[in-house]
Amino acid sequence: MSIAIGTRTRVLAAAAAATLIALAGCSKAESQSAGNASGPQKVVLMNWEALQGSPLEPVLKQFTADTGIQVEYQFAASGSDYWPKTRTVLGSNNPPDIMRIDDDFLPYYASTGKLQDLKDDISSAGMKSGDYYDSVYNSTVQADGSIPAWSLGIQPRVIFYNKKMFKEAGVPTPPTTWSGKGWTWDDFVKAAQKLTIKDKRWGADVVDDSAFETLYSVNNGGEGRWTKDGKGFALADPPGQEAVQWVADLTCKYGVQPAWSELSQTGKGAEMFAAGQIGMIERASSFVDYFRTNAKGFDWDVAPVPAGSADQITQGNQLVFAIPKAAANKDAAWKLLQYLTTAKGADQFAKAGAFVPGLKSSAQLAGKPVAGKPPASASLILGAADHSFRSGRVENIEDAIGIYRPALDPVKNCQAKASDVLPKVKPDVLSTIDQ
Amino acid sequence: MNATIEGGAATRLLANPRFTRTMYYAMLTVLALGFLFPLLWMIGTSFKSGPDTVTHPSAIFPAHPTLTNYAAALHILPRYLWNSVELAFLNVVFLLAVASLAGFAFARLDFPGRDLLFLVVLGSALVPGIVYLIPQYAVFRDWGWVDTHYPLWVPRAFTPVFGTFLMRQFFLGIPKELEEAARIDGAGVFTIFSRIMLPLGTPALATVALFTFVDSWNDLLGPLIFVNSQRLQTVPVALALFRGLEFTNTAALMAAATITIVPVFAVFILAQRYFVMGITLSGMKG
Repeated sequence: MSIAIGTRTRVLAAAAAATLIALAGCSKAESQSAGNASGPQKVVLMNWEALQGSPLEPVLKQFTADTGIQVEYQFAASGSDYWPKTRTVLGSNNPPDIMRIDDDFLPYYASTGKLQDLKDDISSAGMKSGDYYDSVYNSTVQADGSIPAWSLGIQPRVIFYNKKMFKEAGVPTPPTTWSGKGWTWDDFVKAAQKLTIKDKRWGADVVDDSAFETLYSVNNGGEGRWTKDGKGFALADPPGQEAVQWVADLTCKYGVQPAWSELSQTGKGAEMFAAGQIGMIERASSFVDYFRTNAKGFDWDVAPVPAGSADQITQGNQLVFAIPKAAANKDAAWKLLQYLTTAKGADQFAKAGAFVPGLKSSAQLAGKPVAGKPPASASLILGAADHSFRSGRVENIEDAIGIYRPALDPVKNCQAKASDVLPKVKPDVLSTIDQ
Repeated sequence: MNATIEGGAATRLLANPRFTRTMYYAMLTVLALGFLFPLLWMIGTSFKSGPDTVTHPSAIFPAHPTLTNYAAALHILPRYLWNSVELAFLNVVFLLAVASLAGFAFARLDFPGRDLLFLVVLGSALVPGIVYLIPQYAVFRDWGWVDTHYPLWVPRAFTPVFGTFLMRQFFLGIPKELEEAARIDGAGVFTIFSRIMLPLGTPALATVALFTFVDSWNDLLGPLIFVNSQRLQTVPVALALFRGLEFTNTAALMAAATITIVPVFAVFILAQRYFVMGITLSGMKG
């Protein structure tokens, strides 16, 4: 068979091919120029938060001004979209120089052996434990003593409350220092009941902040989610069951908390608080900035987590960054991490109020109220950092959570009891964390 | 007696074409509203002020309409939109070229192992992408493709399993006589493909183009994994900028989402005539 192609077709095909190749080449030319950028030393930082408007932005600029090291910021989407990226770049030995890691998942990433042990760097930099909050300094230390990541600071849980609503309901406001006097979990429920007006507003929201799994049980004699040795599923033990049931009962028994179906949407509880529809909400201190921007028409403040029968501790999110072993610019990455966690960087973070820096001397700046802006009891967040609890960790936490959290939905939806559900999922969770 | 009369009236009513047509359209309208509600809600929410999204979350019409969300979205989106348009164009053009050639070969050319090879092509679609993500990333890294647009269009365009399948099904439906007549007139394989098969395959090509466009436009994982530089990122990643770990700027996100569906909507409107025809003629319709 002969193939006959006309001249016109050939000319058209050649023109089309040339156009497409030129277009396709654009993407390469652009990126090559980026990839081959020469000049000043640089460090590549990957994070799940957008840089623009974040507290990191001015600090990174100052770092570059102080050291001459350029910071190339890689934004990777937040939440579960971040994990495939993290695993891929680590798994293929093509990581950024420094990357954000969820503190819950650190034991897993540490077990892969892909992260640089920072123990010697921390020691030689003279960063002493006494200068830092214990909950921050030791938060990344693994069972074998290695330190595969380093925390910038902590965002401890507190109770945000609507002062206007408290006044209207004639409810005494919670303590302004870290004290359990007149502020137990029972007091919390009583206040929530008085604040609640059916079909108009709710007294409390705890259920969509997963930290309750740890907070309520530890404060009432339990161990939290996991046992200290990281081998047991403590949430399935009676104090853990009680914690889950108590939080579910805020909706199911006391009727002071919106339904789980409403709160399970990310950010919904915070939006409702900001709109004056919820009186008290348990959240990390990182929400200060959000509520300052979005809570209009009422004054609000922060209170400690209520005291339980055993303790009055809280739990915080750690802002953990790691330097991969395969990073191209490890020295520059360590310089950046050191900058962020010592006085120069930490002072700036503290002033921005984004979190409580691990460095205590800098943290004092975070505890000062900002004139004309809530919360008036900002210093209480420092107290929270001092009362933060470091819970047990397990390597396969993502898989374990994937088993027990969905199983708790019927409890949160008032269709089952925690004492029935948790013992049933315990064997599966244990076999997962034992792998 | 009364029951008989009522039964007769009902039968007459059902036999009335105007009544049945009204009922038919009423049902379709209800169904359409069900499908349209999320879209309308998205557009309505994009005009809401921040507090409105909480105080009236399910309302379609904003109490205090504002354009500030669009200003915020437009401040961020243009560069991402351009990247997405460029990638969608490359994906569609190259994929159509490869899929139509492969579909034609599997449908009309005789060569040893053709059917087995086609099964292998189909079988390759059964392997979930996440399984080979890390090896694929390592290969692209070695080729210097990481942080370029190549991983976002070359693999998709040159392994078009669904497109090949759809084009093959379509070409199988074209009468052989057309091909034989062209051969008698002296046409070669490529001429038959380009002058006879391809013009007849417009509906199937439009269908494949539409699916490819949407697939490329909505791809979040690809840009997230393979692209690091902000200026090479695409629309889905831009949308992620509005969503934090703990809270979401719902109104701005909806404004950005509204803007980003305009191109998809336009492509669908332009291609819908061919789209339905392509699905029908390629034997995809059940």
